[in-house]
Amino acid sequence: MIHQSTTQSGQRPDSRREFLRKTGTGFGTVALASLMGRDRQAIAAESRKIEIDPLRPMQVRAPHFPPKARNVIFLFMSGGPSQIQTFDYKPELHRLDGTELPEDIQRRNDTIGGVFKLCTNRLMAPQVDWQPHGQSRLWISDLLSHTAKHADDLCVIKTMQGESANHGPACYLMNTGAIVQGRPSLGSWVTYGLGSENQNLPGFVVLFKVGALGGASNWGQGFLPTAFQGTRLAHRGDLVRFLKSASASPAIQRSTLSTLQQLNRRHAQTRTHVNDLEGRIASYELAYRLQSEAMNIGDLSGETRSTLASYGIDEDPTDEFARMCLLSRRMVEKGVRFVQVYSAYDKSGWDGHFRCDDNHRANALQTDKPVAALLADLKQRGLFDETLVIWGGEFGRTPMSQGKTGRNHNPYAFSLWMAGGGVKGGRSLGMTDDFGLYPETRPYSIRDLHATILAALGMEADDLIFNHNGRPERLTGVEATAEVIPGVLD
Amino acid sequence: MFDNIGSIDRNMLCHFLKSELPCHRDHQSARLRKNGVACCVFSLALLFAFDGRTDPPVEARKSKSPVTANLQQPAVSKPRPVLRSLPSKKFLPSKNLSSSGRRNLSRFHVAPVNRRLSPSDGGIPDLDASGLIDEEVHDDDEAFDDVDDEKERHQLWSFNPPRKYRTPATDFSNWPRTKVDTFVLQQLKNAGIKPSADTSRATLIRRLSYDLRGLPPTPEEVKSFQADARPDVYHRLVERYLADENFGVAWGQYWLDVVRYDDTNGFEKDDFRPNAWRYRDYVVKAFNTDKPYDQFLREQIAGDELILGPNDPDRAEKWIATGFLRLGSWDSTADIFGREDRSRDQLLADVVETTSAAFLGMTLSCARCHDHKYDPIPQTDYYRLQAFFAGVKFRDDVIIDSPHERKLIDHLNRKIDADLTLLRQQQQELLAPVRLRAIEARKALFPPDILRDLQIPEPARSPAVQRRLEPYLARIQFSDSDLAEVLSPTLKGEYKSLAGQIANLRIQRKPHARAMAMSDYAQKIPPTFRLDQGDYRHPLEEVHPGFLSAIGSLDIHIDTEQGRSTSGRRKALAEWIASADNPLTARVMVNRVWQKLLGRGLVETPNDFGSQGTEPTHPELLDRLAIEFVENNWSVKHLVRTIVMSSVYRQQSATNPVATKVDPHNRLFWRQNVKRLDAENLRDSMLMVSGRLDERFSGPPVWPALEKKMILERPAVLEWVNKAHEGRLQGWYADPPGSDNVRSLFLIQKRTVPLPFLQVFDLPERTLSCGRRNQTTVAPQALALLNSPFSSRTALLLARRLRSEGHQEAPHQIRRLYSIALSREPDAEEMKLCLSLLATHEAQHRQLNEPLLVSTRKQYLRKARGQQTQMTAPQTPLKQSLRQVTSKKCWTPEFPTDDSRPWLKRQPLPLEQPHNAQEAALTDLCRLVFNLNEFVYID
Repeated sequence: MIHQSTTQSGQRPDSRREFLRKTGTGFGTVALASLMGRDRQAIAAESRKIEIDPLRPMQVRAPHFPPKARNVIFLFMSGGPSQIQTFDYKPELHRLDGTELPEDIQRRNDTIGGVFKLCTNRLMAPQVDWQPHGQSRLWISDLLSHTAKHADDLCVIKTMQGESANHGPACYLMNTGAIVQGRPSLGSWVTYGLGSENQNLPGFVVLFKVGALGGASNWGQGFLPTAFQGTRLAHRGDLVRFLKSASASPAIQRSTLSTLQQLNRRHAQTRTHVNDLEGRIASYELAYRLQSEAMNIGDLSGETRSTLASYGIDEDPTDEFARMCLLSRRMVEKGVRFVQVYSAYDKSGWDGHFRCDDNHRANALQTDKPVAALLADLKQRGLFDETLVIWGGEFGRTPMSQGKTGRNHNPYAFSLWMAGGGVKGGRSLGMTDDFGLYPETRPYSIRDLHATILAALGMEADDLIFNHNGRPERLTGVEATAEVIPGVLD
Repeated sequence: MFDNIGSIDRNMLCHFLKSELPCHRDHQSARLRKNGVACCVFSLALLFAFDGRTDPPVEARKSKSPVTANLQQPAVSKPRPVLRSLPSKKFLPSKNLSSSGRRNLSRFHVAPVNRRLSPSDGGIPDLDASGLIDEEVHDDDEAFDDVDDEKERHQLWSFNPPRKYRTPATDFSNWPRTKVDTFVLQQLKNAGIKPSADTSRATLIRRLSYDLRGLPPTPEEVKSFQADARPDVYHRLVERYLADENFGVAWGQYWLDVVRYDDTNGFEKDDFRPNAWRYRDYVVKAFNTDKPYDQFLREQIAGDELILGPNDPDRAEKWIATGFLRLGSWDSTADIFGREDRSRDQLLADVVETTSAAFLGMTLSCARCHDHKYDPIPQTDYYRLQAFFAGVKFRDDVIIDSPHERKLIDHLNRKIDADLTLLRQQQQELLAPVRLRAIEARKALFPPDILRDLQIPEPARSPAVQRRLEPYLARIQFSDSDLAEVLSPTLKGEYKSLAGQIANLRIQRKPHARAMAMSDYAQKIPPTFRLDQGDYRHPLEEVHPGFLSAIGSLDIHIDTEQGRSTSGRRKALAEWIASADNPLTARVMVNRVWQKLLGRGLVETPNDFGSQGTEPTHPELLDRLAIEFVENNWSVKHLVRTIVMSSVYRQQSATNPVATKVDPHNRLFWRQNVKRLDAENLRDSMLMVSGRLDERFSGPPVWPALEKKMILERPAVLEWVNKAHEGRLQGWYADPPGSDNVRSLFLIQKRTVPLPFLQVFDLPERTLSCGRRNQTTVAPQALALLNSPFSSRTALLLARRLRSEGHQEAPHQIRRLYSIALSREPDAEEMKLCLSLLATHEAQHRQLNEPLLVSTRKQYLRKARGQQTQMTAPQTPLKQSLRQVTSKKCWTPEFPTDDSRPWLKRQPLPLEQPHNAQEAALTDLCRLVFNLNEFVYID
């Protein structure tokens, strides 16, 4: 369950509406009118202003309103999985296989651009079977038969829309809300807003074999303090860089640290005004704790054989992704706020420009079983309700072929699912055209997605603000146009 | 009634109150605690009832200004002069100043010594102790602008031209050394705070050395500085450090943050930019040669337009400087997807926003989509500014060799080419008989009609015939290498030796040096439109180049003389920014310099001089420094000198309770701030004290060898490893291990692969202009300093340095260690702690690890031998070429596409182990010293 102790003790700021309702009974109408007349947003934003203690940047901060989820696991399907091979069933496409895309659709404005440049006009049906699953009869392709067992927990959004058909910008967009490099990533914003429950582990962890296209900026902190940068943890060997003690023995390490701290304390005694010094002394104790905690988290020997097997650990081809998925559960369990896992085993991941069917089969084999095991494991441990799980890539793929067997990128309408903390499962939101190329119903922007994620965590996207170079910056943009995607949480 | 609001958020109310009421924060919270929320709600209600406005009160909006928010004395917080206007021309120095006004501040008057004793110096006469305010500190009768004036001034302070304020009369008359001090002192006086005394010489030299060079002073420098009794010893030191080449490195690095410098493109492919480093070198050199700042900025914005013909001696520099406009990240895959227009839109946005942030301290990003909400910048201004850059085009073809060099290189290459042709001919002669035989043999298999058609000379063949022949023609093409295989052994040997000669010669071909430059078109410049919501797909009305309307005249002069190769637009913009009349330019740079030297700017937001930034704490001082900066030919070194010679700079960093109470954040500079070393300076210092820092102040970036694992987890690099790249420079081109003992500025900065040790210490993401780095303190930093191989290696090197310098006795070693790393001697307690650590560790190492040490040493030796064989393997032409390539001044790398890629094989050196328990214990101590707060924080 989500801990709401903060609400009970009255420390946590209530929602703005709540505040106004309650205070409205407390003082005169003139004042109230005046208060209402004032820029409400400014009031809320002011009350939600975040002060970061540079010495304890990850200390827990209260959300804006009661959260539905506490932690996030973002399973990032690198390369752009094809919606029409996973969650967006298009029977019409099977019928029209090999025919030309209708001309009126071709002519539609390729506003994002780049989609048609590398494509033929020939429609290509995916070589995969589809079944409806669960009570909700959610259509899921056989590629993801393990995940399909959790169909009733998934909320599939079929009209996600990006802003770029290139990997780099699209990855940046999915992770930072902008197609350019250098803005803070989702995990950074979340930990900036909420801190993290575990002070001994990084609050924002990134796991991958081969990182996202576009590199470290995908988990960068941008203009936020560096403490909110995603920390890449290894899923094999030393979890944290420089974790292993360089001292010849534990005794030597202890004595080095103890002398160090003594000398540092003497130095700080005459410099009480420099807060950083105390913080730095504390950071060595933290480092020491991080060492042991990280060692524990990386040690899978406590997991049962059946758990390991359910993820597909030590099996080909699931092993890599399975380890990352299991680690994410272990971290969420320990109170790490935001875990992001990248799926790709090689440079391209789901990027099926050639032989898309084979490519997707291989990627599904690597990831499907671990993903399903993660969902089951979270449920079994009672973590599912407080963990928001997100599955999706930077864009989808075209129903038209690229060359004879490939598919190009499609940022216009792609599928992504959410499950767990606060998500209404067994739902399918949005509709695409007969081919899965363009949205038929309202497309949802990545900013909408971000606003939804923040909402699940109890944060108002418009009020999560960091002032940078004179601008009130938000994850969802200074224009504040993002909306929580209806139907996901309510 | 109030019971039901018991659970509402108290913090929220606090925020209200803080912004509305002038009462003290603690007072507030005390009241909150005491009276509960009721009282607050009441005050809140009262306040609004009283006011009734819909807008937040002015004071509330301004409450973020540090001055008002944190200083508790209103008299201090608002030391603003009456702001009235004056004609901006008055700002031009030459017209209004008497000769004495232009006097150079660097000529510091040296008064009799012994007036002032600094407490920590034990009686050594204080430095440059001008005990009395002399005429250099006081102003003469000059033209001052501090008279009231009728014309209205701009609401935004930074848009008003700086005014030359008279130095205030001050007490504490033995404190001020320079005019800077009088301005600072005046505010201190108003606040009832006394400035701090001078710091000790040891601290001062360490501070100065780091601020000016980014490195610690050597123990010898410290010693001689402390012993020198000459009154101008400090001034001499300042001059020496200003002249040190490391000055350009330290300050260049500072500037590279501002201009978002990196060596690679970023995005998916993150290609290497082979010539970006020339811009980095240009910056280092500019600071070292004290290039006037106005010229420096002109060249960066419009260097190409400032070239005075082909024989301009600064031609190369001017081209290289335009690299500034190219430094933003760049998606090299955009063309694949036909999105060049979007890339271009991003490029223009990057250039406009960086130019305005770096030189004008203005954040324009807001105005991209709408009129600026807070600053007087309409959206049109953004696009008018963008129009200056509308015609820009990348130039990677510009040869920057001097005409003489160029001639030499061409001559050399022509000669080589002639030789190459000859050698190739010889090869062909060797192959000719074989080729003929091979063709004949193939032809024998062709049908007769084809053979007949082949007889027809090519021009005479009909298209149909030609088409029919094509597959056959392809079959009688043989590659040289295939043919060489069937040569007789002797001829084959001959052929191979020729091939070897050819390869050798090809390497000797010297490429011309080229710049990563930007220029623009003279004609047919694409029109610029204001964009609806900043979306390039939705253009509104057309706009033309123009300056910020709030401070610039609307009509601009663009030099459009016939025959120009560029539009002249950027030149016009550069001139406007570099103009002494521009109220922002000088102030912004002065503030950057102040920030670096005092730890915080006079304006706390160096990239935002708008209304959302903070106002200057010392507006008169900022203006005075800005004006004198311009008067002194925009000399950065002069400005640095002015500040470091002041008493403000030389103060102790220690706190005092009285001042802390009034000004807890030291916004009035009543003491020096303690400054933390940034990532690069920390690494450089460790290298320097270990005795391994290589002197190097220019050249292509050094690629440290990284663990293969790290390379293989980056998609862009992996693609290159897997050879899927198409001539892109996506790789990790590791240099031989050990070649990275250079200052961090010269290490490769690859956007998608930040170097782990540096990254953890708050390396900024260099995609946006960064005026001030974040400073965080996190556990991974401790881990890096304790456990990283770099830390271990430098600790061992330092231990060996101590031992090799003949310090065999532990106390000597400790004393030497302290003076090398901390610029001072240890006190008795420290000595005791260190000695005890050495003793116990030595015993432990001996007891625990003696057998282990031997075995690891053996292991190491084995590894090292392995390394050696690799390193001394016969030099392939490629390796030679690489060596040549990296050691050359003129370097345009031609990365070979063949299989032999030494970069892939280069791995970090295996970690060396101490030779014995004594060395191991000393290494532990050295590692500990790197971790000391005192090593990382400068008093």
